[in-house]
Amino acid sequence: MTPTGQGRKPLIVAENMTAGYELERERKLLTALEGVSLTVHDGEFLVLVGPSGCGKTTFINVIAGLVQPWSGSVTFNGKPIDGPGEDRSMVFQDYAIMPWRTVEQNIQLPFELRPHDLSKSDVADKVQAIIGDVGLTGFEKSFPYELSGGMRQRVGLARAMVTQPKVLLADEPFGAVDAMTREVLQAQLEALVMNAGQTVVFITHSIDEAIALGDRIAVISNRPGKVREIVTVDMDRPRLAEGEITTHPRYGELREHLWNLVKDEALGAKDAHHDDDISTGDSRLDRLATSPATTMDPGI
Amino acid sequence: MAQTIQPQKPDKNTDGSALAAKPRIRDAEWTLTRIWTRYRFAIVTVINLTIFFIIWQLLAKYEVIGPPIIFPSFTDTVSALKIGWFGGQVTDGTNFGLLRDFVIANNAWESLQRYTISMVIAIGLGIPIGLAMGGFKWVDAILSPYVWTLSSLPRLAIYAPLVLIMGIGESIKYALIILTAIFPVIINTWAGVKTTEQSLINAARVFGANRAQIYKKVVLPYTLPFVVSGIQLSLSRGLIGVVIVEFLTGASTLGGLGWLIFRSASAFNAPLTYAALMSLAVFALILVQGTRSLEAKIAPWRQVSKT
Ligand SMILES: Nc1ncnc2c1ncn2[C@@H]1O[C@H](COP(=O)(O)OP(=O)(O)OP(=O)(O)O)[C@@H](O)[C@H]1O
Ligand SMILES: [Mg+2]
Repeated sequence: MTPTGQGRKPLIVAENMTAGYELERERKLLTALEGVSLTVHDGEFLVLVGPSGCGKTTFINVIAGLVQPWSGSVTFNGKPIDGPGEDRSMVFQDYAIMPWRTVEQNIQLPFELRPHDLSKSDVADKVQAIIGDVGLTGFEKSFPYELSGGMRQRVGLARAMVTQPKVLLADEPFGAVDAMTREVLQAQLEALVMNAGQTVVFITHSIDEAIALGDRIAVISNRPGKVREIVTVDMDRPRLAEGEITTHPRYGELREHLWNLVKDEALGAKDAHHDDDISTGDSRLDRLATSPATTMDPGI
Repeated sequence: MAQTIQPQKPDKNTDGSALAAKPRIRDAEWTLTRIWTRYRFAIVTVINLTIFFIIWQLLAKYEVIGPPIIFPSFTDTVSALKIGWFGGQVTDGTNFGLLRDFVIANNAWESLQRYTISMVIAIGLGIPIGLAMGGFKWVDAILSPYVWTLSSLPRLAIYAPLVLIMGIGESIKYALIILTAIFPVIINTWAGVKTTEQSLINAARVFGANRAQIYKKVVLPYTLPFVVSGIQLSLSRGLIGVVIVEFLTGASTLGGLGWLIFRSASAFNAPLTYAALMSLAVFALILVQGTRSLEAKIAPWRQVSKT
């Protein structure tokens, strides 16, 4: 398997794209992304890293069809994105699972919303299988309030993967799970993606995770976010099945390079981010603040 | 909103196998403690009420608050309750005026019918109005001035113009009770729709929901607990409405429980007043407790906000 997306067909193409939000209360516009040009190739695993608030979530919301760009273009398979579609599913940063549905019912939701030709028992089998994959067996009938944060996150992950969509948009999907489970899930995701040939756009705050999973890593600059640099991870797959990826000769170099890039942006973000909080005053910020702690620590 | 405190069931370990190894005496201690923890609330309530009724009886006996026609004794009130509900011999010390066999039961039945019909209408209208206001901007724009004005206006003030329009009959009673009760349902339902978490709606959209599905699969379930709280509020508001309306409209006989309370007081039949009042209090209490358990049944996932 080729380690990079090069030579493959472009699937998602953003050209000089600008997007943001209308702050209704303050009657002003907040630019989250400015002049972003980025191509996601078919079957590629693209990772986005960048300081908090730089617009990563906004970017995958645009791809998901939840946010309309202000200018520039974003196409999927050559057609402009004008809303959500069957071929793209998403793991949400704040999980966004329905509190009134059990684990099982939450994961089954995509099958209820879109027409499909699977029988009831086929759906049940698929749901059961993915519940096993994400390690939630035994909690099928639990409500989200009975689960830990990391378990809720895995429900969100399972819901996004159960339909095996062409594109998986994952917004810090392992942010709230413990390090051990995280490693297991990473390896599973890699295996799943390798077999199914899925395209993944994956947001993380962990450089290790980015290197472990990504074909390419796009470093996004401070808000308004731009693509600062794209780093190609030239390491063979599977990287995680064999265990220690950190001993790979390329690993240290990539890590240091990325760390410097991200540190630059994170330090630059401090000043900018402060008035950002005040000027937006958005409830979303509160939610982000309470979202699982993700760090950019350089590790050991 | 109203929060129920769920009694904690004792942990399995505390009365399970671990205990068997302990000495006998500890066992006895444990049993007492367990009886106490399990029936604590009932025991305290019984003691509490007993003391309350004893003090009441003493206050009446020594006429601390006033003579029996102003402040009846507990025992007279109980006998008024007995006659009013089940019929029987009127004993000494109670005023004969209004106290007839089954007088409380008959008036309570009268009020209950009035109350039930009004509440069914108030809830049946309130929920769709709230949903429509929350879901459609133009409905909201048209209705909200009236809803907010009427809901903040003391309902008693609407009585006068209503009398001019409807006269004093049965229909004005329903109108006033409904007007008293309907707004909490409307406003809570509206608030539920309005505050539905955007991220849940986004998730539904990503997984393919159209507008109708967003309402059915996200907005309605999200709103349900709000509706239940609205109904709870409306039910107690409606009770106020019943008492007020029965007081205002009056009647020669059988004006309802509210009417009986005021009518018996002006006839200086204090035991009957207190008996009717106690009946109303018990009904209100059962109602409130009933709707509380309703909330826990309808929206078990809301438990997360109760811990
Ligand atoms: N719904 C919204 N309304 C208004 N502003 C928003 C909204 N969502 C995000 N923003 C703003 O857009 C900017 C980018 O947010 P975004 O969520 O894309 O950042 P992010 O890179 O995902 O950050 P994090 O790593 O903390 O998740 C932030 O300044 C944020 O305040
Ligand atoms: Mg984000």
